[in-house]
Amino acid sequence: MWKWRSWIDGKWSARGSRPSPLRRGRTALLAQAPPARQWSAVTATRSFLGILLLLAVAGCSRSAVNEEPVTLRLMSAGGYNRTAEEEAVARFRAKNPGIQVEFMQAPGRDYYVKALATIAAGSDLDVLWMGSGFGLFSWRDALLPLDDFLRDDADFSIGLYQDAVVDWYRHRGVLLGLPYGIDVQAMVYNRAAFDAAGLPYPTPDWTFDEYVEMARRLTAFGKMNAGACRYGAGVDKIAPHYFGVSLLSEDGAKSGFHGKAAREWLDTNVKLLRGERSFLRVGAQGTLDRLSEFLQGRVAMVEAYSWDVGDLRDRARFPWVLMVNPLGRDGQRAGWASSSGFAISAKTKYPREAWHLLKELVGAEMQVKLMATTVPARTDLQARYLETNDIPGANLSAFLEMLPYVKIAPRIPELLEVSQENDYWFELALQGDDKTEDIMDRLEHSTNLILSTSPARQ
Amino acid sequence: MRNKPLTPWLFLAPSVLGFAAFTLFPIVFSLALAFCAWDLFRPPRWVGWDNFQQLLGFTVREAPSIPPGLGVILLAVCLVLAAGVILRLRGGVRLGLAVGIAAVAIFVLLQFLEPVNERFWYYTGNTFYLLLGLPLSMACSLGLAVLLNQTIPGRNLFRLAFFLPSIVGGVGIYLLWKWIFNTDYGLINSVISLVHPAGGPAWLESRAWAKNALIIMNIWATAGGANMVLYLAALQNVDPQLHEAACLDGAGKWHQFLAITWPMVSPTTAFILIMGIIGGFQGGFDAAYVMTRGGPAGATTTLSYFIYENGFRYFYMGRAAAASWILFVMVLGLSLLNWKWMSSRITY
Repeated sequence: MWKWRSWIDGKWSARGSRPSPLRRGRTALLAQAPPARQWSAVTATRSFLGILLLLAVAGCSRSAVNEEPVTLRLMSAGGYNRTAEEEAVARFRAKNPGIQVEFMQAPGRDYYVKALATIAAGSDLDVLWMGSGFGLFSWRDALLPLDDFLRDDADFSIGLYQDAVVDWYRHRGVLLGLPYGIDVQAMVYNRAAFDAAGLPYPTPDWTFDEYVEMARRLTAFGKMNAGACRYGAGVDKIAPHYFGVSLLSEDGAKSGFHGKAAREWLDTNVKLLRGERSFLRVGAQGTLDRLSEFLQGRVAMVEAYSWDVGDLRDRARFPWVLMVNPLGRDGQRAGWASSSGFAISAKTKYPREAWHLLKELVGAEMQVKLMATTVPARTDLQARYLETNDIPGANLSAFLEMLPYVKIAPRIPELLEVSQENDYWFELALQGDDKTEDIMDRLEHSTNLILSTSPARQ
Repeated sequence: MRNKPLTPWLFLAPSVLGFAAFTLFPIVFSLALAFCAWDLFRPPRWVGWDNFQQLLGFTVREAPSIPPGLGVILLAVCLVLAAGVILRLRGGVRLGLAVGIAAVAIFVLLQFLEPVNERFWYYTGNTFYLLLGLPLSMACSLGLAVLLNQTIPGRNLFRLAFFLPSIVGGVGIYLLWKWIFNTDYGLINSVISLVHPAGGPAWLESRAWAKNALIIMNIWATAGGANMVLYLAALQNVDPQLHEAACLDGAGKWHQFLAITWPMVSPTTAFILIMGIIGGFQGGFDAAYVMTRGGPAGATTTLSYFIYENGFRYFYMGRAAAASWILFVMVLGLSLLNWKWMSSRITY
């Protein structure tokens, strides 16, 4: 019985079988052929090393002959800034014709997460937009120090920039980014809504209690009159600075929510947003964002940010006026602020080229172009802010008047987690299932736990 | 001695290499990472059991809810009862009693101990709660399959109509239902307000209703999907003579369903149940991300969303890996329990 020989193994699997004529001939031919070359281990090793050497030479010569042009990758959140960024890139390319610039865009809400992930993954990212999430990057050594560039570059004068704003981009004394603008918060109100309700307009020395009372009366008027603003004021949450508290302590090492003032802040939020509903909780489920609710005429007063000016000018169908924030219950005025700027990734392959691009992105032309959305960081340009944004009756000077009162939040690496924790307990309070006192205690406890056990600081 | 053949290994090599590179290595790496702290920027740092302790650990309460003496007495009573139950009682009631006594013991312990990460346990509870939709979805799938197994005009059209939601893109469904559940303008509350002036619940804004809203949406999306198709196939394998014989014996439709249809589709039920449990534990992320961002106040945050947040928002890779392995153990345990329970109930 025949059994097939395995041609790979080269073995006879048959027992007592007679080879075929074809196989007999082949065997005879093989018997006459010269012996096959014997590959020794030494020969194999020499061949392998030879191949490696050839590849290395080929690789070197290839990189010497075919140099790819330098391409810088710029990440930003896009939106209002995109046109100005493109113009800045065009200016940069005109001065550096051999360098390409590629844009990467990330949606606003997840911008920092995407930027961090891109840098961590070692993907090519050279220059990135930087704002209030600076701490997420600085603590992780994700940004390139700029002090050496500043020292060596005589063309760039850091002295023209507002010192306090430049300091926002320092981490442990090292400069890691540069600003082009200051984002400030004030209040904006619908003048027509106040006229319809017969209420006096807010004044610069208005207090938080007056603000709440105006909102209550406007809401009551809106309930009784179709076509009027339905709510007097709209907030995501009433800012803690009206009660003299803040999310974090000055040094960012522990929670700022403790004591009677913090409980009062939470109680007021629950009362106004959930109990009385004289304030609309904007941006939550079932509502639009803050500015849309205001522009649609549903809310008479909202917080306004410097980047809202363009939308207010173009989309509002009623007269609106900016006003400084009310004085808090502690008699102090405060407001949110941040800075917009750019930084260089610590993993960039082209630091010098990235520096030149960065200079263009934070330079005078960029700041002039973005005056509609942010107060310039250069002190010599701030005077032009009001001239550029000349909207009669709008009182844009409120943004400049808020500058002395702004409190920048500590730049911590756990910013996202702490903010999320704060939102969690705040929403829990709004559900009304637990006592606000217990919630404040647990919020303080959990925030301190996050800060003390954070792997980012160890 | 015969040399082993090389051919099979050569044919298996691409698949094995791919498995090793994209499945086995990440699994082993994640297990190692679960014992480290790593934020992607600095090298991983060995922390031992810290990550697991931060998720599953307990600490002593500062102020116990009941006096310590009473607590110790209660615990001792529980232990004695448990020993008695195990040693003396026989029969099925033993399991129920043992579970009850264990529950009391755990309750007493929790008056003295509190979880280090109470939120993790809450999110685990959310994950289990959302699994409650699985039997409802399966029941709807079976019901639809039974109906669509009838010879009716336009049967294929009905099958297509019920199957369509399962092939529509997930994000589209979530955005659609986000508006359906809108408290002020949503379709459901608009209908409810016709009969009930106070209107409906604040679906996605309410901690009490958000999960129920997701369950309702999930039932709509999956009832007519792959499960219905599996049941249809199973129903078509049921011998019609069984129904005829039952009918001749005077059995009604419902009795026929319980005695014939339900046992005959039990293998399919077992399969769908296991796959549903695995999918249920792993799922919940996309709906939470699009519709509620895990809120309100963590009400729709599942374990998978928790893992995403820790890994890809806060960059706590070690903690996310540890949570992943805890999730794996839960899924494995439940699947084994389900397999053991169903094996005695499957009719072939």
